[in-house]
Amino acid sequence: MNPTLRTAAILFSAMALSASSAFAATVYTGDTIEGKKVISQLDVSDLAPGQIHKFLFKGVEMGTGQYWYVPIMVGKGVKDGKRLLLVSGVHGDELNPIGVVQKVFAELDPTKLSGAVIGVIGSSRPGVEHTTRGWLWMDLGHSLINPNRTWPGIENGNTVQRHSWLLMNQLIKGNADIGVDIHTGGNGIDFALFSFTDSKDKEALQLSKLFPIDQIYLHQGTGGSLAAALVAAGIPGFTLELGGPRSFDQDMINAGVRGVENVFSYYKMQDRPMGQTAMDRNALIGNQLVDLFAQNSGFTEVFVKLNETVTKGQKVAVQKNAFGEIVHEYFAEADGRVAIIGTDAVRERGVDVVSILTNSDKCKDGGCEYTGDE
Amino acid sequence: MNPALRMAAIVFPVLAFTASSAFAATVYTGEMIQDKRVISQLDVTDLEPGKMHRFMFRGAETSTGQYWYVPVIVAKGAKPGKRILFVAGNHGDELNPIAAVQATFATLDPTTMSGTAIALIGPNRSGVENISRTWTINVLGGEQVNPNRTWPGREDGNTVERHSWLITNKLILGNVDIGIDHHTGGTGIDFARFVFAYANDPESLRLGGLFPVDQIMEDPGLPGTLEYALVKAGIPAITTELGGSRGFVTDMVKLGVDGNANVLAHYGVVPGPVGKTAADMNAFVGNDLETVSAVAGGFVTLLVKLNDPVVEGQKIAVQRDGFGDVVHEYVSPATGVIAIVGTDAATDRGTEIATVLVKRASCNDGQCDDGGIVP
Repeated sequence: MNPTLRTAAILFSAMALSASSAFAATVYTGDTIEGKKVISQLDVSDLAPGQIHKFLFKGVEMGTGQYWYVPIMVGKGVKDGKRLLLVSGVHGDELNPIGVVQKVFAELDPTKLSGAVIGVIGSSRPGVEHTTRGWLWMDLGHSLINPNRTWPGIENGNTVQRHSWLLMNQLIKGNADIGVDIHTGGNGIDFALFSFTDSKDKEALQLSKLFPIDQIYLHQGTGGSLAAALVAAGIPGFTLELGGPRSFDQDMINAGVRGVENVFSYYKMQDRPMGQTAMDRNALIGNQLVDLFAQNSGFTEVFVKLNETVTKGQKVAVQKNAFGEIVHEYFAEADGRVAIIGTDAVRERGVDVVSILTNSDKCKDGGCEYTGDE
Repeated sequence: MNPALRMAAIVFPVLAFTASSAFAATVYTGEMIQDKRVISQLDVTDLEPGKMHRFMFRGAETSTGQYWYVPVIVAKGAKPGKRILFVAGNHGDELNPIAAVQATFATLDPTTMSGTAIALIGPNRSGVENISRTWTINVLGGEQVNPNRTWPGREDGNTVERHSWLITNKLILGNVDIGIDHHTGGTGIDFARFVFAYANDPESLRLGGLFPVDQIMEDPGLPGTLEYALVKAGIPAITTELGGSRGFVTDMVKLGVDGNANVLAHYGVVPGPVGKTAADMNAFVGNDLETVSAVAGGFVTLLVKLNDPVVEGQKIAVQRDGFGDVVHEYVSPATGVIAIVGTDAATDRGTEIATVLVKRASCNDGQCDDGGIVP
């Protein structure tokens, strides 16, 4: 190795070291918005203990060169402990998750907390503004990007990919030990109290079981989802589904809050008793989610309710044309429980009519890969 | 009058006085965004003379309770003089105006100016981000509001109405003597080099003539436009049209820059001569717009170009269906010049195919309408 190369090698190692200790400090841009300091990087270890800190995280720039700012709350405990990440609004039409994060922080006393809680409120900024699942990106007119297929993001990717990259690398990594990405069904569907949990991550399963939900779907992880990116980064995490889109449903919000309280109890972040968990609710742990997609278009009546037990061959929905003539009938393709129902009566080809959580032999080694939209 | 009423009568004039001198001060919210101070109210008399000032103006709140911030540039001259407002991006898909106003301000030297230039870059925040004419509000699943029908705004109106009200009352009134609202044609149409000026305001007509355009419409005033709201508030104003939508077109940007420079020179804000004007371009001055709208769906072939003179009855466009069969032929409804052409070949019923600027004796004094579609 010649001297130049050797110097380069030394420099490179030094740079690599700096990169790995990137969370040396919270970076304040000097901007303040709505009385909150703007940060471009978070290091929870910087923050004063026993307090709730509120920031606006500088995300990606928009088409005009202005920026999207994501509200962030950090409850920093007075003792060391687990650092829990709670994310809401990766899909902008899913509002119960925002209600959960806001309520958790409203009730949080950081002087009685060990560890930290990091809340992300509405990460898909344009999605939340327009109550839409997709993030409107201006390439070739318009396209709607599903943010929950862009994680862990790409540094020099498109707007949404870069936004995910910034959140993952400047906010989440190095600051979170465990994470919950909170969702609901999207526009036109309703979801049971449900989790998507990566079967490869035992702690993610444990975390899921702490929530008072009715169904746990163990699967192979969905590429591009925040939950998969957390697990890949060594942060046990899962996707929680709390009902339907658009509004605040207090029962669903409370289920999320009770689950977070159970996480506090289990990890000794707070001195509190364990409340009702998934196991107390006799939750079904399944390994396959069978989606019944519309085979035709028309007005659809669904005969089953969420979490109802169904048997294979049972008629679950009927679809009619404008004259009231039946164009298709839908039958359960497996024994299991209803996880998702379509709520928009007008159902186009390819949209979800009913999804059933089940256990199948072919998926028994860690669950089948999930390829649906949720 | 009982004592309480008398007291109220004394208090009321005091309150009214306070309201009329509302621009007592620039209000800094204490926020900083991209190193710019955020203001919720502007008073240019507060600002240091001979300097360029940059702010983020806090507009209406978004549906999440965050806010839209509009970039504002104030070039305050070393000496007093006329205060001129340049607005770009009232419609979000009209981009030449933004380049023109940015280029104008890049050349300004406030130390040699007498008076003030104020720039509003993209007040329709939602529209500029989405490159759309309208501002999408979150009512009943989404509704698109044309911001240039909301001026002077309403204090407790919907998001767009309130945004316009804030800009009118907290930024424009008390700070502006002359106003220019720069536009282009919207998505799917192309506009000639054109100015709308209110027919009954000689100062606005003079202002319009300072732009080296090919066509001027002496308009009757269209309620809800920024131009008309300014004129009604005693501020001479015009609407310019600088070509087509979406892109930066060098010639059209230059038209805006040249006109802006003429305005600044004419009012003595910037030293120097006035350059080429509408009169030098031998501009056609009309007082009526006749719009030809599609009466069927289909692919449209235009037979005329912008600025072409046309006579009443002249065939100007042919529309065909998918098989290439003619479904309709369009003729000019009047004699005049082509001000607007449709550029999207696939044409829905009711959309614009072409618009003709017409001069009618019967329309003197702004008695005719504006075709109902523009600006």
